[in-house]
Amino acid sequence: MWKKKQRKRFEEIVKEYTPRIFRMIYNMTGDYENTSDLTQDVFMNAWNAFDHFRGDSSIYTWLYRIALNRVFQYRKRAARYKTIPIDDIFLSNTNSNPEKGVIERADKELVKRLIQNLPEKHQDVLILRYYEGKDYSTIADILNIPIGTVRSRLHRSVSTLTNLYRGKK
Amino acid sequence: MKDKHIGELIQGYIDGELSRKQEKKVREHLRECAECRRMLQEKKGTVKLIKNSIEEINVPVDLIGTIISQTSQKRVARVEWRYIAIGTAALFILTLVVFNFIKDSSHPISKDMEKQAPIEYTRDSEEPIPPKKQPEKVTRDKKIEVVKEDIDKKKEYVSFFEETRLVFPEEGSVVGDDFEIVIILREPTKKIDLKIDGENIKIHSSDSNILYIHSDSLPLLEKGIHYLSLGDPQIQSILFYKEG
Repeated sequence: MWKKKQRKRFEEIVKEYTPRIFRMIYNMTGDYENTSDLTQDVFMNAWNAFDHFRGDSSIYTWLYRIALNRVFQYRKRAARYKTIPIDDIFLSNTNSNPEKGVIERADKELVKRLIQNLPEKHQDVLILRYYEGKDYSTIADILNIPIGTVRSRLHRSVSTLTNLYRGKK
Repeated sequence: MKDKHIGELIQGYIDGELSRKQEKKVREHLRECAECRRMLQEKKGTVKLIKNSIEEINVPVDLIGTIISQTSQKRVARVEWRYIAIGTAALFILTLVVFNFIKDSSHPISKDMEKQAPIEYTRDSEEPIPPKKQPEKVTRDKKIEVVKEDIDKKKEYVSFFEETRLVFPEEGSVVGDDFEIVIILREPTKKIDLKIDGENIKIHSSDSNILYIHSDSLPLLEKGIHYLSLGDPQIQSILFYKEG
């Protein structure tokens, strides 16, 4: 009976959180092809540990932590320290039709590339804050760092991006 | 307000993450400081750009079903690595104890054992090698605040000149191990000549526009003035970060 209840609860969690976890993994890896597999791994790990989840943190903080660990493993394995030459994408976009929509798309793409060139720990806070809309205390909880560090990392990443963007315009 | 953390406070202000007291402090400061007002506008603009860069991503339609079906199968037996580690360590210690016990020729029981049953091993070759002594870690004094006078005046931005001075004037101050120098280049490059006080610093670069130099890869800098010189003319700016 208890097992059935647990299972039902878990399935509800899968339905509710799969799109969010998928989106977060994609934003952190930029690898659409592997995002489905990574999302599946996250929920498989979550299911295996579900009996041990005591509710000390909220369910989404717990899931985000599992997802982040999976992303860290993936990055290590993929040795994803390749940096993307920013000029390539920017120049190719500005040479095309300079209509508003095209420029906006180029801008979006450029900002994404610039974010991907930041140190990973800076990318992580940036994505959790502005893509996922998490507040400082939740980010601190997920990443297990002090709130002050969240703020200083955000300040640095936003300043670096400002500088980079200015240099590219 | 002479506050070296104003940049971080402005960040918190934009994100609505300050206490009322801090917010008031920032507002008052902004009224007086044109440079910080500019920083606020720039940061707001960048945050808007970041938010605008969010893509609509299609989640595969069958993903939820796949996950539910996958997880409904038998749970994977989890390998308890910590128990394996503890077991291995215990076995290793036990082996050491047994070896020492046998090796000790003055021990009456071991002598008896040697007489009764000759043991087939050579002491020289099979004696366990004691673990190597790890070199002592050099700990840096983290309590002393690094005063980066020149840098703070420019709100963490250091414009690139031919030579950039790093000033650490406080008595006994050293650069802690948590800072980073970020060099932004006008175009990707594989090699850059960076010298601190005339000493060449190796930088790893992967043909990127941004180079990150963590304090780990720098020599220990003591109080005084240090010169950071860069031989590459393609540098756009240099940022100096201290871990908060």
